[in-house]
Amino acid sequence: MAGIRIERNLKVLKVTLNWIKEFLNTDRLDTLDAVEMAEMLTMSGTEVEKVEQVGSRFDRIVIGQIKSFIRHPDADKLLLCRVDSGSGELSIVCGASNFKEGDRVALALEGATKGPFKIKTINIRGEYSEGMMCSEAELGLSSESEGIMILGSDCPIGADFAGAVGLDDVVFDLEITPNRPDCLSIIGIAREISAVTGHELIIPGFDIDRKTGTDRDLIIKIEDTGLCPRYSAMVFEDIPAKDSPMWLKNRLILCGIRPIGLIVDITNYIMLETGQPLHAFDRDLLSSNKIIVRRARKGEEIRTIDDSVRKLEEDALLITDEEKAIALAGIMGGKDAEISSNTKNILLESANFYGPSIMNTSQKIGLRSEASNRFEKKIDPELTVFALERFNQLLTKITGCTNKNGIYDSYNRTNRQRDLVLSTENVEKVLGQSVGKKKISDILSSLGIKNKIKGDALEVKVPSFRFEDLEREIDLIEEVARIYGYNNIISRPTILSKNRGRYSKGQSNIKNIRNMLADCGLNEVINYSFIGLDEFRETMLDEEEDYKKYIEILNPINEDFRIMRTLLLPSLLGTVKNNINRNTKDIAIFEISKVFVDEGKELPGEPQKLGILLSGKAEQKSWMEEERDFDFFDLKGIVENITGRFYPRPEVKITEKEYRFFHPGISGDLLINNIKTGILGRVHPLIIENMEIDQDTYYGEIDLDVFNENITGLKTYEKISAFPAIDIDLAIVIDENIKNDDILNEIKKSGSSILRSIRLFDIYRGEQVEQGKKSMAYSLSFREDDRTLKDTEVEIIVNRIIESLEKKFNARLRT
Amino acid sequence: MVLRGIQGMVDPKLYGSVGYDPEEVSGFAFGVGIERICMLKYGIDDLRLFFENDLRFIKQF
Repeated sequence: MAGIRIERNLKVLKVTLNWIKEFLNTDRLDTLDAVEMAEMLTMSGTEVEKVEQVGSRFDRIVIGQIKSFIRHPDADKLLLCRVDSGSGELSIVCGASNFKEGDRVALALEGATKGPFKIKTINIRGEYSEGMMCSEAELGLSSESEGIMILGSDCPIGADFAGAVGLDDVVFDLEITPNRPDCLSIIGIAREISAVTGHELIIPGFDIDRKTGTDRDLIIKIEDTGLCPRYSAMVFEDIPAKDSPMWLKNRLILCGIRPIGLIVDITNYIMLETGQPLHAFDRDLLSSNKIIVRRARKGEEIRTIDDSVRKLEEDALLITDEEKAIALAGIMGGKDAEISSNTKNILLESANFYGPSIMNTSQKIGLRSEASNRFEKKIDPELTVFALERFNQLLTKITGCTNKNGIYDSYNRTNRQRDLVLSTENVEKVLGQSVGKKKISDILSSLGIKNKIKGDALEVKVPSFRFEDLEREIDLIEEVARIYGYNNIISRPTILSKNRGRYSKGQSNIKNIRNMLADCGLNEVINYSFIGLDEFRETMLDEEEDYKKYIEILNPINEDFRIMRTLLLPSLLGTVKNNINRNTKDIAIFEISKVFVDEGKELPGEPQKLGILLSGKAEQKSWMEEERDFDFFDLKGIVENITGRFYPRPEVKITEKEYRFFHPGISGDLLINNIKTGILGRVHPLIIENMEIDQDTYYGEIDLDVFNENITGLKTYEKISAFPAIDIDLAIVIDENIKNDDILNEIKKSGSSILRSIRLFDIYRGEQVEQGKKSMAYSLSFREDDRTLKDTEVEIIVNRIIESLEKKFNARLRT
Repeated sequence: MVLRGIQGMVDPKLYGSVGYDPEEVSGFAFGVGIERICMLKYGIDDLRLFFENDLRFIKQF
């Protein structure tokens, strides 16, 4: 007995099969499987999210009758009952006592399921209990209940419980598109089913006396007919106090609405059935016989039935009597005229309100209801009277109380007539295949759309309930297409244009960079463009001129998505942290994405960036290699690789520049051919510590727009010398703070044109050199293109190099 | 798993705003989340994996 959860999710419309069947000629409907029907609805545009056979939850639960009971001989609080199950008497031990002999109950037999348990015969203090009498809560019909559920005497003993109380049904969860408010009802869905299955739709007719807006019993005054085109009402007197019958309550429950009391239950029932919200006021709580529909006064308040005081603006619409506001029109009733268990006389409202106004007020005060959800989608004003008539019929059926005064109706009718012409030729043109005018006519008729074939066209009268969405011929063609079935339209291969799309140069470069980085063993990640202000500050972007001007989101989903990132680093650090938390510690990742910078213009700057991040170990220890952490040179190497792939003989330089988020001294700008193209550095230890990453992390970010824009020139062939090179190794001892880049520049300067390459092959610090110094060993290669160099000429150049290094850096030749 | 996408006839109103004559052209459009196709192809059962940047997941591709 899994509970039926009563959920009010306004996005989902719940309808039941048995209810729908009441409006269809069901001769052949029993042969149609519920799942099949759901499929047909979905294919015709009414999406079915779920189909549930509710009856199966109540397997092995039958109607039982209590024959006799005595106190349990060995337990004060338990009763020992004899219960007729329809197929023999059972002995049942029960903790409740809210019953008498002859009562009918929901009896769970051996084998029924209650949550994860199965009911079976058990021994309770020396007495056998061969089943269980269930409470409403145990059956999942209410959230709490006292005692067991007592059923009506009309329930046949031994019958299936679900069938006897109207729970043997199928519930469909539907998603209704906003353009089809007519489908927010049982009848609307029945109409759709009728169209796709061919079962005739049967809508009952009525004959109740109608009265106009003014009468001595009730005066309806609409001050703003724009916001309230129609207000219909009925007065019922001396309604007997009765509970809602079981079948009514259960239908509401199946459709996600909590039963409250007879009158409210019937209004909800009729709303679900017709799509027209109804509201009942306690007639005796109204100050007079006058209903006024008007806009709220500035600062006016109303206490709604959920017991909240709502402060209103002047555009809100109110229902009032001559003294007070009694309802927030189309959204929720007021506390001051709310019906209660003592209510005998009611005024029943069935009105039509202007959708956008209801939506506006409901959004402003943050209150949505089943009623406002329907009104805001613009429902048909023709519905009001029909709904009243259905209410009257149902109330009479349940209580015997009939209406004596007829219907009061104040209707400021607007023109809802629309005649359209649908040409069969246009149907064929749009669908790519001929449907046939008879078939088209039948489809429209099945949807309740009147039409007449005239030559090769149809003259169509749009019904009032489809006035909002059937405006043009093309809208009718859509109706034909969806009921004819998109699946029934013959597939044909499409002939596409011969102009194939292609990547721009920039796009193609980025694609190549992506592949290159993946080939280097990096992994691509994708993060959201939003970050939290905390992350922004944690990475000290608020202190960096180039990165502090962020764009803020107007309505962030939560604090973690408050601003647009100006640098990819915060997100990538987040990725690192998440992975470390999952025990993946060695990380080489990149992300390609736009960042957003407020440049004081109408729109933000959106440069595309490549962020590369290395953290943890570059190499694990293995039989052939020692373990090694990622370092700055890994990062630099990757950047050089990418650059070399697109730039012919680029000059890649890293010039020192402090960024607050980088480690002082290991922080710089990336220059390609002297144009700043990005930044590189080691992430600041404080950031690493704060984020609990606890391992060295290197980060580089390339501006891909700048990168792509400045690719120039062609690679040209450089002549290969036929003459041998002379290689000289040179080791110098030099101050720790002098950079390799500067040394290389100095060597190049004094090296003359015969110096063709320089390679740093060793750095040494330790016993052999004094504190604060390091030894740098370079291999220099000399060559001339048209002759063999003599050792002596090379020697002169090498000496010149050594001299200049001594002079410039106070370097010393290591011997 | 339910593969959900959207499809439908393009509303002729849209053609006006992009400079096509709705009398001349008509069209159908469909869209489906790219992750869904990927899920089918590789047997992935949880959409959230695409948004978590878990390297144990990313490295498999």
